[in-house]
Amino acid sequence: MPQRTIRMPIRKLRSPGTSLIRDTDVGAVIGFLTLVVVGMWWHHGGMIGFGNSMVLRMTALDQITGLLCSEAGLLGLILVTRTPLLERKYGLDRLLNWHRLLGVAMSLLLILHIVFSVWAWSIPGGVFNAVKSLTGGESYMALTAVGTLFVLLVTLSSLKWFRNQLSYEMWYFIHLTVYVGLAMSFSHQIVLGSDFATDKFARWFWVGLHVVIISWIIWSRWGSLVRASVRPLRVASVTHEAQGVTSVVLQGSHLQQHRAQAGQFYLLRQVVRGRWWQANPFSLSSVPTTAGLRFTIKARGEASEAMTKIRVGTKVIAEGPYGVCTPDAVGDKKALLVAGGVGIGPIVSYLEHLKPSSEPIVLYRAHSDKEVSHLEEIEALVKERNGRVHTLIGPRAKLKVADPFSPNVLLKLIPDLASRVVMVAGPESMVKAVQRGSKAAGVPSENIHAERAWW
Amino acid sequence: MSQNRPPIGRQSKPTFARQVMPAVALTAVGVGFVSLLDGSTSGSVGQTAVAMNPVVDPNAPTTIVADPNATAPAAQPTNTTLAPTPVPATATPVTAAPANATPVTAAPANSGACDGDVVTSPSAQFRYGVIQLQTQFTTANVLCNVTVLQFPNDRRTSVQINNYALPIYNQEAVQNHSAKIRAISGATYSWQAYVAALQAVLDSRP
Repeated sequence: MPQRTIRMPIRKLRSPGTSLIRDTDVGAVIGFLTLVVVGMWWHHGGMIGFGNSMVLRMTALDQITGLLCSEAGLLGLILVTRTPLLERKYGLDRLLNWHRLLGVAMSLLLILHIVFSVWAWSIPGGVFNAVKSLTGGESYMALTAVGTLFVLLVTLSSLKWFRNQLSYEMWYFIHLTVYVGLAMSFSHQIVLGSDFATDKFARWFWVGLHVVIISWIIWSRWGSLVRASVRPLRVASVTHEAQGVTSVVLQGSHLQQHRAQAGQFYLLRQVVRGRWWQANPFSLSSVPTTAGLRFTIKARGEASEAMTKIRVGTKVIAEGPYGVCTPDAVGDKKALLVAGGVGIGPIVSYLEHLKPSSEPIVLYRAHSDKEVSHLEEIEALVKERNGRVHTLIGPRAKLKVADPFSPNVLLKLIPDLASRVVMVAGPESMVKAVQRGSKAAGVPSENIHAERAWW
Repeated sequence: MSQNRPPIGRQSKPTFARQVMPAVALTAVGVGFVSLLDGSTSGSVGQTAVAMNPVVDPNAPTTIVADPNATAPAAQPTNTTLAPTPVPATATPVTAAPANATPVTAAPANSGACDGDVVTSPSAQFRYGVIQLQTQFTTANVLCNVTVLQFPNDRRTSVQINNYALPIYNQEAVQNHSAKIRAISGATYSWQAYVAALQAVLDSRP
């Protein structure tokens, strides 16, 4: 007798679909906020008295830099909502990069704001008195001064040099204090900022804008974490692929309703004592199906090593999927897929998704035979699609050519390179080398796609 | 239906209207918002106020009035007075100072009677309007009286804030005989303009 449980047929997960947002919409929102902020400043006095005296000039400047600093902060906060509207258009890696740039802009404006404020207040009392007033003399300024220190500390911790000294988790928890810092300095905008202290309408708009964006973060960012935690996936199998490389399959009954696409990545968090607070990005290494999500993980650091040693049955909280570098970019063209090391994971998922007409060529770069994984799988997939695989294995010094991704070498290997769509996954240096080489070989830059966010 | 959505990152080319409409709509909202700020008429009132009180460079020579009795409240019993009229020519300073601004008769030993030069300050323009002071000095050149000739009164909040703060600033200025005055929370911009105006007068004195 057959089992009475109904088994759903295994099928590919549906695609998350694209965003409705256009580049022009993003421009319109940034323009709107800037218009409102500068308009408010102008309407409340703006440049009046600008040529008259240093006090008035500095006051006007400290106002506008303060307002623009807030605007940059608010835009940066919108990016960390990871809203699908933006994420499915630009990809999480780009959003986080813009977030970083806005953070730098905010801090520079903040420093200008401080300089102009102290300058304005130091007339006629002197710099010492100005600093005294601005760190405690004025109402709410003590709170604001501490908040400012938090914000500057967070910026400092994100500078490349400091960032490299800190573990990811340490950096992340420092980063969270930015919320405290922003909250602490918000009061002085309302009480002392002349745009809000006396103009009720402007005040309600400004407070409302902050409330909306904070609620958005709570709903979208923290809400997605809560939703992923409520329905965790479980490790269904762990397979040793190569030295230090493991593939992990995650399953869950709710995958039926889940949407994901080959080439995307997840933030994985294993629910194990001492690990649950670490989330790290990993790319899918096969087309996501209702049977499970497969990730190929290499032990490269403390956190990813723990992930390779995960046990079957462990609960995993998977936030995502994120990323817009998917094999759909190939369309009806032919493809060149370049993998470096564990970058082979996403390349396998791309391959599985490609049509036979794409005649994919795979270049697989690895430092030693022991590192090579999924090779048989790739050979089978490539054969079905009339493509071929080239492996470049060995340390750089032992390769026959100095730069395997120079345009000459690439063209010799792949004469029709210029008409192909190039997709790269691997270490940053290799991604750059491939981008440079294929661009020089005549591939238009819109046909070169790279994923860097995975580990 | 949802499966017909285009895949991630691939969008059909938007129409011109689709590209332009959000920008136009948001610009309209933004302009509407800014023009609604602080009451819909404040913009024009502010402009009139500026037109009525042309900007005076604080570094320009200050007016020294020869006959104090012509415009100055020299004979007034209190030293702190506040004139809520915006036009200096017709200013008749009144002693309607709020209750918490107690009249000060601080007369240090060396200052003598308050019957020296009357000096009108330049108009110090700031975000909310103009502050102009009339000061009086003793024959020994000590600041002994300050009257506010002009302050921003086109907005209700400006009047409230200044009615409260300016008498206190007057009082402190006379007590200290200088522009070293503590700012009052909420009246910081008035304070900056007040100090700028007073400092300009003091700088012009020998």
